Amino acid sequence: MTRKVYKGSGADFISAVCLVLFGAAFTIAALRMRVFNNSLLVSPGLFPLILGGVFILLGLLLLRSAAKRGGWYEASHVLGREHLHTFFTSPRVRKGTILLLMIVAYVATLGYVPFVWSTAGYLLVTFLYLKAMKLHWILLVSFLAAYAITFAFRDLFRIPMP
Amino acid sequence: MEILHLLADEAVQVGTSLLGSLNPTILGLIFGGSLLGLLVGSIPGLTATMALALLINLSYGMPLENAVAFLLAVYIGAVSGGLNAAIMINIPGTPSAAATCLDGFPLAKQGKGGLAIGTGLIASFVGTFFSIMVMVFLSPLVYKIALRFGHWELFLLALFGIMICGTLSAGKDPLKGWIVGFLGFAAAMVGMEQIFAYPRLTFDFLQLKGGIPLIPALIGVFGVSEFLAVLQENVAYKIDGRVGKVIPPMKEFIPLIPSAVRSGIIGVVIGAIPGAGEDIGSWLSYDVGKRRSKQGHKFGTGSYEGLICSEVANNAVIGGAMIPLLTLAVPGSPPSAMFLAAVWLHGVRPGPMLNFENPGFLPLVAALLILGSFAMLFWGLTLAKPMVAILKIKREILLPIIMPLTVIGAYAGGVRIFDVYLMLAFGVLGYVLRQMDYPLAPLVLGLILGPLADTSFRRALQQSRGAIMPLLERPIGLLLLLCIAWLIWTGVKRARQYYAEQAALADGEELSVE
Repeated sequence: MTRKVYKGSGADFISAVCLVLFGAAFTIAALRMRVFNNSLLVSPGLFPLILGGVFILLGLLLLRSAAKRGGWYEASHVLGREHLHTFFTSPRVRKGTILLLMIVAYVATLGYVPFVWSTAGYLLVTFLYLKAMKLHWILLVSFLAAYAITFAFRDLFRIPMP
Repeated sequence: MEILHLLADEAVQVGTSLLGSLNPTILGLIFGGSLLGLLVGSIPGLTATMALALLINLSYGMPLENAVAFLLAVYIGAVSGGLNAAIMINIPGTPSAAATCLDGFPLAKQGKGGLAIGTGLIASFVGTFFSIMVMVFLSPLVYKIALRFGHWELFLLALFGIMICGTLSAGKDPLKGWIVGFLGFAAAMVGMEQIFAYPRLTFDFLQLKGGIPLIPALIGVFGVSEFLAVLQENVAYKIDGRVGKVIPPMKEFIPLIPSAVRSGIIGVVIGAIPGAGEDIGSWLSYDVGKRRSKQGHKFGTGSYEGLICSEVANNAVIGGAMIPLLTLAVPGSPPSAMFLAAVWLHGVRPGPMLNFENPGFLPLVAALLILGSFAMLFWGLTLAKPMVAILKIKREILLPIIMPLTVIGAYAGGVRIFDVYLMLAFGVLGYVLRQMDYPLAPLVLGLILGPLADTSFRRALQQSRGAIMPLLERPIGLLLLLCIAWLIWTGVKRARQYYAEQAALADGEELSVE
């Protein structure tokens, strides 16, 4: 069976479904908020309640538009096992994910390892992954940059550091 | 007569502030900030917002006047610096210089790269200066109108802000811009609300009781997501042309004055529209210039007029963006949102009451912008060749070094590691939204305007005892309401047209579905 679908409609379809679900959750959270002076007019939940409704409405509008463009079919194709495998093994996505994971690891170490060491480690690993320079330059630039940043902000400008 | 008196008074105050700012510390910060801004702006992938995000932490310990001087100089430098890469390698240093590529790069290929850079820098200076003049003379009038705003008008202004920002920044699909704007509103609902101090959506996190801090969120959305998006792509570039002579002959500028004035006006108007930003100003001015100019057919082939249209307008957005920021606390562009967050940290609350609470702030901003534009011109013209040489450094080396700076920026404001986690979360959100073609500016604007919209809406309803009719009888409110209705009407129409065009062009990509 073949159908006419348009590029991007699958992403729109998925984001529209997420938006409707988010809107519903937001509405429920707003309804659970306390009502002051028996009046909803000034109560903290009023504006979030309206926002929840707006999200559902905008989500449905986007869903309708995406569905008309074959969004459901593209979404089910995109979320299929084969496509997901291709997606996650594409060099672009893999690079973005690895870079993001490096940042997460860097941020996670900040509370436990001194800033200068965690920064040097992060720079070293990132430069190595990106093949930015030759190894001896990577080592030199990583430690020099980490030290220079720490010195400039902590000692020169007296900025609080993690 | 009263208006003339007001304007003369404003001019005197700017002059006094200018003289007061001529001290070594402020001049040093302005020239230092301008140089750093130009450097960051020159590097493809780093925007003016990111320049401010990276350098905002340096301003935390400074007195207000010094911090404002430094950040404004960075802002002007970064917006102007984008032209170096646009002209020499056909990749805009900042999105605001994208239209500059169209004529700048052909000029560089003709061996006139230096002249193009010089022309662009002078145009940037003219644009900034023109917009400062408009800001100085228009802001007092806007203050007068803003003082008549009640809660209902303030709510509608916030709503209008994200609607128009969503419409302009989302290109042909305004629905996506609105969605992101309302997501910003939703993020702003986290924390203690302002009427009953009731904690909302904090999920028992003590750190969220104060709400989502603006600076970590901004750094995440514009810094981290940009870092990931830029490094993910394998875009190689090399410099072909020579820089050569930089200062252009002045006589060539005289016939281009009408184009510069027109571009300046367009830039200021776009800047004054909440959240619109430098890139929209530059593209619109280029497009209008191409259609209105007698030499329009030469645009895109290396026309100095085309270059001027783009560069005057993107810098004119700076002064334009300051008008709603200072008078209504509504930032006109993403970098100005960063500036707003910085002055909040220093205890200044821009808005209708600014003239009463900090009477000298507007003239001070104008004076520092003037000095900042001179500093930008000085560094830009004298260091054009070294700036181009920076482009030879690989992005794979420069960008990772920037990441620790974003961490310091997020941490130093509140001295909490939790803010770094928030920055990361907003970075991921920004990255995902970027990948799905959602604009990011409305998210930030929504985050800034959310508390104003929420509190003003509930207070307006409280004042009218829940009745809508008395609110609809207020003229300013009615005007804003009509503008919002018009935005929704045209936006929905435009989105439908876009999808219809897309369908007609592609005529469907056949896909086998089991």
